[in-house]
Amino acid sequence: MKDDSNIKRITEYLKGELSNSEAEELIRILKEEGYDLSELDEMKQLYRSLTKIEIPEPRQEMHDGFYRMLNEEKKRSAGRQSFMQNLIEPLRSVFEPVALPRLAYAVLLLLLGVFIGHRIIPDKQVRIQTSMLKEEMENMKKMMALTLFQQSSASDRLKAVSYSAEITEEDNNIIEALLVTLNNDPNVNVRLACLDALTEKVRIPEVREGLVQSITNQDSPLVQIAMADLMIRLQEKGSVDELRYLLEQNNVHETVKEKISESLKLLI
Amino acid sequence: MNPFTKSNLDPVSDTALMFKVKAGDIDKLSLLYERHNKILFGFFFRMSGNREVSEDLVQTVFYRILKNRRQYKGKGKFSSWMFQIAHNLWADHYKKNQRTDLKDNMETWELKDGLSADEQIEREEQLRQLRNALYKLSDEKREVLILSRYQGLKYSEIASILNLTEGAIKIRVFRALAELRKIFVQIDNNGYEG
Repeated sequence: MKDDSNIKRITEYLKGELSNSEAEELIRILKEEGYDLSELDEMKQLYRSLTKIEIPEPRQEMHDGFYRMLNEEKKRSAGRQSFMQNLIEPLRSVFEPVALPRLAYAVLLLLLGVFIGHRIIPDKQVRIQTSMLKEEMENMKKMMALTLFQQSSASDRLKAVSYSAEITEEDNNIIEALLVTLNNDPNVNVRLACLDALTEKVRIPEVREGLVQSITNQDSPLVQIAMADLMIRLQEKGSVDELRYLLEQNNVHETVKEKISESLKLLI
Repeated sequence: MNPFTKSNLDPVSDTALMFKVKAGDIDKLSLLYERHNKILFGFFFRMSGNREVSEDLVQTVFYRILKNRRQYKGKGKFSSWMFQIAHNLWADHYKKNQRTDLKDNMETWELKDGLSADEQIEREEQLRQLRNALYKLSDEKREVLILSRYQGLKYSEIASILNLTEGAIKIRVFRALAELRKIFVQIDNNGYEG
């Protein structure tokens, strides 16, 4: 057999990927080309027979080994986490709720200082100072956001999302924190806020990709609908497989399914 | 009744579980292990014919998943990513051991029941010949047949695992099958080969 296109069709036929009419068409072509059909039959038989050879079950030792490895990794990971906590804790105390008003007051004073300075210092110097201040503010927001994402309170995490949305610069840590929160946060409002924040950053390819991948992770109908809407707005054809996957799930709410069907019509 | 309750929602997908593992909830790996350990064991056993080696390799796949969890991007199906790791692991193992563990344990392969004694003997003989023929294929050809026939993967998924085009995979499957048929016929003509 030399013709690659026939070879490809034969493998599809053997795997049962051709419809009856396509299979008949293939057989007709092969006959016309003088291909030995008994050879094809034998290959089909062999291909089918492959599944008749059974294999033994893995032994209990394999499962024991896996769970031992998992437990060891959990212990190691807990050790690493407490080491990191020791490093972060002093920093975190700066952002504790009690310290936040003080921090806000300090920022306000700084801004006031800049405003007054703007009136009395020559332009060029002001521009330099303003850009430095902007940079400092961005850094401070990033730190605040990354700290607040770790808090157990949903309102703190919402604040984190809000700070993240204000950061104009592309920051991988912030984007990753937003995507992880979108995929894992137990609170629907936090996830919806994340979606809004990420919507503002869709020009970044990683964000677009992360949003598409997140579709199948969502279990809330509100988030599912919001994501389907967003995919239409973005005309993101890459999301078709993920949306179809949701559509095939039995436990996805009917309203969501209707919405997804409409979205698919607009996307395809 | 609120239709949006948790109980109405789907079981967690592989991708979602893997993202949880990535985020630090490594206990979720046990769910992925329970879902996939047998299919992975099947892959390694069909490649090596050795139960112990296969069990070790399954554990190593999950160890690598755990170690590389931060690199997981969620592109494509989780099982494709997992088989990519399994494929690389097998390639390393094969390079180091060059089929030394093949055939030694082939007698542990089991055959399906439910036939009369004569039919059973004949079927066993045929399947033994098929198994021998499978092991006479090159590693590359055997792997592509195993992935396509046993692991329920689409040609496009196998292509991404082996880093080849879908067309190249189909051609490799065809050639593997053609060779398997040739070897099988040869063995059949020469009688039983041990």
